Amino acid sequence: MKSKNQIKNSTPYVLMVLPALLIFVTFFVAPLLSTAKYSFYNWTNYSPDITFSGLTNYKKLLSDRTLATGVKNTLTYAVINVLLQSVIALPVSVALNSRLKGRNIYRAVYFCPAVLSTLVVGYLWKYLLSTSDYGFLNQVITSFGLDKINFLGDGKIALAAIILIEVWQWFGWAMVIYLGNLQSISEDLYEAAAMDGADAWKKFWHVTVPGLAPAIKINLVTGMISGLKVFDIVVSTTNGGPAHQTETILTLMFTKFSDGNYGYAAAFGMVFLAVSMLLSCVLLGIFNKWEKGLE
Amino acid sequence: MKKQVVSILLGAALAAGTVVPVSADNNTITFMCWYDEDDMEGVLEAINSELGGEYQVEYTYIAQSDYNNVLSTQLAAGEGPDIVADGTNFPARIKAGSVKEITGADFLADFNEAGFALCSDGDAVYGVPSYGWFSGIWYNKDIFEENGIADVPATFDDFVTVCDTLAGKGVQPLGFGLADGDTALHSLLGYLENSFYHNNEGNADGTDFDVKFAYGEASMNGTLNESVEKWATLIEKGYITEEMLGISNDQALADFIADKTAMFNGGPWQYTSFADAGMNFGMMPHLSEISENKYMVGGPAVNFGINVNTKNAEGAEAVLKAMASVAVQQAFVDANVGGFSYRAGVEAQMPAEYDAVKDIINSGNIACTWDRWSVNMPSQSLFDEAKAQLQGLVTGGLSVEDYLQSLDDMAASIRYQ
Repeated sequence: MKSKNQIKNSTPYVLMVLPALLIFVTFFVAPLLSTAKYSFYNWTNYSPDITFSGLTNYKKLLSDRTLATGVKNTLTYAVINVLLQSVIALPVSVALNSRLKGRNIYRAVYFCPAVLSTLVVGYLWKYLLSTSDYGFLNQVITSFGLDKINFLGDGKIALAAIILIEVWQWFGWAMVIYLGNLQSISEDLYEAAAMDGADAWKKFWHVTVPGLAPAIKINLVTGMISGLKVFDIVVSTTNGGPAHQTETILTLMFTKFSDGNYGYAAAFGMVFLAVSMLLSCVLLGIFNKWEKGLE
Repeated sequence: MKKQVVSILLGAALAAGTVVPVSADNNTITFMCWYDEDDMEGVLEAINSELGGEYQVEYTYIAQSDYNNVLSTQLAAGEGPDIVADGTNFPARIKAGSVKEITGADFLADFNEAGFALCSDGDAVYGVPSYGWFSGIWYNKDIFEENGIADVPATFDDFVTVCDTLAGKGVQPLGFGLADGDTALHSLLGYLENSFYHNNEGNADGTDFDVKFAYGEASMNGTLNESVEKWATLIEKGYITEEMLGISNDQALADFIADKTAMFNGGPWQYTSFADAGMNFGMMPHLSEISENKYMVGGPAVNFGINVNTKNAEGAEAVLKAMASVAVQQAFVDANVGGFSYRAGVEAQMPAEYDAVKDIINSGNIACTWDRWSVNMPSQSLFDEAKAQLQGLVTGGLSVEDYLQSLDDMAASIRYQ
């Protein structure tokens, strides 16, 4: 039982946390519970009645061919996007951590796209990648005598094009996080490694990478979560096309919501939650093992 | 103590930020739509003039891509504007009980029955139409002339021959922005309207096929295959290409204005863009196997009804009555050059560019497949699915059978009953 003094001392902190907690409950917990509830109901735009329908929405979902495409695309996007960002950002951050002339300019240039709205980036790249005469990239390609590439209209490569756009936008962000962590790795470790005869690669692998474990974890976990929520870049470039080939879980959920099928859209939301939680558990399990290995 | 005061102030600031001011003006009647504010200027002036100062309308523009979500969310919450405006989804609003029945209102008497296609349910009327829209095929008269095409094609086969002639001379015959446009679907549905639903001895049901389909008594796969195969000649011959999937509708429109393509599916909403660009252009109808009895794709555009949750029923009714007047209906038609009206006493401009379609429109040969679907489904959803799956048909990823089956599957999942 807490003493009166303890309660009195903790009250200001509780009061300070309370507004954020209320917002969290109002805008996350309550809608989540509401979504879970309505996923079992027949709630549509075109009927005034909301009736309990059990597992009907989930059964319908399992027979929906676009769901498999959406889940596959979401996972593919999340994994490849985050890995590519790190693969590019890591060596770039190491290079920009060295005494390179103009490194501050490079840092600013690489970080700039992350400041833009994803929707703006999407519309911009949709224009640049267009197969019309206005498409800059295809103008360059055809100037070399090659055929146009239908980046966003060819279902086989459209998702890859979207991933590359996002890697372009966000690798600078990952680079900044790595840079911050790099600057905290003691120079003594590199000196000790040099005295032991380690070359550049061995220093990178045995000093830099373990030292970057916190940044790698942050980038991969936050990148994966953002990747699973992919929506605006798809809407602004392909809108899920061509022929639903770049649909993701959230674009499908949005379509069902727009169709006025709220119960069904809620079921999609629950699928999204399940996929996100599963992936997060797998990822955290991998990181925990890795961190134990480093100790 | 200081910490407690700060935390209490923070909490109070949060609470104050959540208070939403409520308008107390009972003379303002709200409505929203996706029509540009500039285009609505004349209409709003006409409405306010008809109201004579007793009420004022407040119009909010919402982008068409967001409109359905915004309106649906508001109506689902029991709110929304006093006047509900919607197009293909208006029947869904009726089904949801969001709009008030106005059967027998005196201001409905001077409307053509066809105008109530989307705002009625059986004999019950729930709204008034704004104007009538139609789509056809815009063509560049200069390109036609330069390439020796003297006459507008009269049949679909003639149309394909024109495309062959143009392509043979290095001119791109058709422009479609398949990334986000619905013009290719208009092309397909325009062909079906002329060759399947009408002028087709093999289809005894005529347009009733769509009603049967809407109720699940008929399917597209197994019925429309031959007609869609015929239209797909345009894909087979390379006049509708996979490359067009990487082009937006705006870009395709810009290409047509820049004389890079000879023809572009569209409607009166593009007239001003072409006229302002100084183009020499015209419109031809959708075509079929025969040269007579042609049909344009079209129907009532936006419909207006009274929100059942309006807090000012009297004012909303006054505004709806104003919207049904000759002055306001005329303003709608004037803002959409080439559009027509379902209201008696309204004159529609038909500039020379519409010469090839004037008689068709005046004879009332205007019909719309997805309006017919709406008797038993939210047809906008099926329209959007048809548009998305058409991309698969163009890439060759879907056969005609797969395409039609996907529409049957979608319809099965969205029918009301």
